[in-house]
Amino acid sequence: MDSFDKKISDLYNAEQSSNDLPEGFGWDDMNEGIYKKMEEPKRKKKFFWMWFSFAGSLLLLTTLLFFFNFETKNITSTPSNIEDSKAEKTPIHLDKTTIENSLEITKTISETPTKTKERYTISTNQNSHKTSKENIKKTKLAKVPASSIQVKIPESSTEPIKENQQLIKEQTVQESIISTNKTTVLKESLVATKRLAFISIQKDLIPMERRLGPPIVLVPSHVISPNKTNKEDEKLESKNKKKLIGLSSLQLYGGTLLTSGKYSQNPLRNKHSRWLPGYYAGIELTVLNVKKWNINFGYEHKFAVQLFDFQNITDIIETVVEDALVGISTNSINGSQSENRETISTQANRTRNYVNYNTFRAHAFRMTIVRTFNLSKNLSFNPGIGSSYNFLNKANGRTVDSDKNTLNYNPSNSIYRKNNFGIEGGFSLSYQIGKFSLNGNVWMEKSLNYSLESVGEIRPVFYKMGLGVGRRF
Amino acid sequence: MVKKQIISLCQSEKQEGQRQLYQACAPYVYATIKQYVRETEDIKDTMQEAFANVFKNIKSYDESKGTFNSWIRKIAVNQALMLIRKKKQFSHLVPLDDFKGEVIGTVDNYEKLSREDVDKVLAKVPEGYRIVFTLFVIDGYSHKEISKLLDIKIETSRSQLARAKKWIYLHLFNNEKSKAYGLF
Repeated sequence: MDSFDKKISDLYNAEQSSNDLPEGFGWDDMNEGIYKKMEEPKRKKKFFWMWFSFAGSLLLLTTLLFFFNFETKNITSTPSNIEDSKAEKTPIHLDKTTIENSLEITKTISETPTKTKERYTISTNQNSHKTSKENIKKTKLAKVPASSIQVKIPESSTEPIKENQQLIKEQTVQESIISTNKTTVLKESLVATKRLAFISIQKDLIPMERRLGPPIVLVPSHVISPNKTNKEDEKLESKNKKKLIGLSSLQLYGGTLLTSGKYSQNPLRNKHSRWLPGYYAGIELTVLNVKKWNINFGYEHKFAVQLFDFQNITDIIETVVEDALVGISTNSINGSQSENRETISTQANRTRNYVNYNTFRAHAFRMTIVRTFNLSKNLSFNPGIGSSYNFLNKANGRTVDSDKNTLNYNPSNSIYRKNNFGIEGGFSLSYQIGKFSLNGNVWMEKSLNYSLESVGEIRPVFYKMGLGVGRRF
Repeated sequence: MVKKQIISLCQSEKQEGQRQLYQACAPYVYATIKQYVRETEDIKDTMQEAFANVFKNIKSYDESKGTFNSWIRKIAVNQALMLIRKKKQFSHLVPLDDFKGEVIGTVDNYEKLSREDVDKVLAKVPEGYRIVFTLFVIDGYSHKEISKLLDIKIETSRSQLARAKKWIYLHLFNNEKSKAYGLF
């Protein structure tokens, strides 16, 4: 700091405290505005937290669903088990003859101390029982609720069943049951035959004293799906499950970006500005896939260029001239002269002759919900909606004048809003080529006026129109 | 100097304390903001923002780190710079004067300078220059601090200041000797 600087510093710092307030700056004029501004950030922060809370809740929900799904999958993936719902939809109807010929009642005794129950199943005929001993063929078993299996037996036929039950009970209980660990399973060799079928008897067919507890029965899976092998069952089951709920699929994507956005503070700049095409690229995680609805979270980067083309643009600007000479008085007798000076407001023509390029970069967290309509094997139509939080929006400017001189300016002087919320929606037509998808997009993202910042700079509107490409993992 | 009692009242969020603090500090804050912001409405808006910040953050004011005036001044300057960043983005893109302007000041020696002389010239200085000049010369920020505040390079801050001084010398003094002083 030299002596000139010191002189000015002293001038200002010595006199600042003695300045009076101009009219309109008193407490009564200002307090309302001050308190309003004190409240403003709270409201904005509230909105900000609401958005993230919503996104967080959704993420939490999907995480829980993920683990729930994972647990279910572990259970259902045990060989020979079949979904309850599937069993319910496959009632088995047996006529009297079939039952009489093939009835075998096996009693299962649980070794679990707290769950000692008697359970009943109807098994195959005794001949096949013998056959099964010779041809030890492993047959997998599945649990189905007894209520799902209907056995139609006339009232009159209950007696033979009862007799048969007793007989089988005496003959086979000892050897047909293997209890392992805390659950009870049927000895596979006893129940394996071509026509093997374990089905439950309806409650009214079982003597009252034996109707204990909910009848859970073990049924070979091919009884339920006679035309499918167990492996096929598993595949089908797994496929069905995937269709219902799928999780954690990752996608990289990108495409062409068109942008619009006006600078509200200067209409002339709007008139002579235009956006050049840019691009967007991102990564998104499908956190939940329910039927054909996908909920995605992701990060996205956008790039666009705004061009301000001022080629000999002339406008009028207001300017204030202090001490402007507005009159001179002369005294011809004594030759004296006096000047009349005032501060006047005047207008001036301003001509601008330069081109300014602003490169705009934005980052965003996105959350979208997309529905997939399969139009053909490879073609799908995907409409969706979403919301985003754009942050670190940054512009780099370069001005080139008519003499090709360039001037780069400070990126922090961005004319664009640095952070903003956005809502988006649109659709894309997607053609699948292996794991890649070629997309035709019509998607729009509108920045909300609501922001953590208070003054309205340019809030660009993004149009993801044109071609895009994606790769799913 | 603001009385401790007023600060205590404000810290306990008493409206009477806030009123007294405003009345005590408003002229000082106004003068500070006026060095950066020209439009009356903008000054008003910035003052409101500044006092809103003061009232919200007064609990964090630490007497041991400096006077209350310097603390409140820092808030006012930051608020003014925020407004400038938001409203005047293109000022630095306007080609700068090449020293063809008329001499505004009437002094021939900087020792005779008055506040009014400097005010007149500063009102005409291109904004980019004026801000750096005010931050460095009047408010005593270092180039490093200015570079952080304006998010510019330290070298840019230095060159802007040098240009600002040239401009001011050329417009302030009416003799060639003083003008020449600024060109070195």
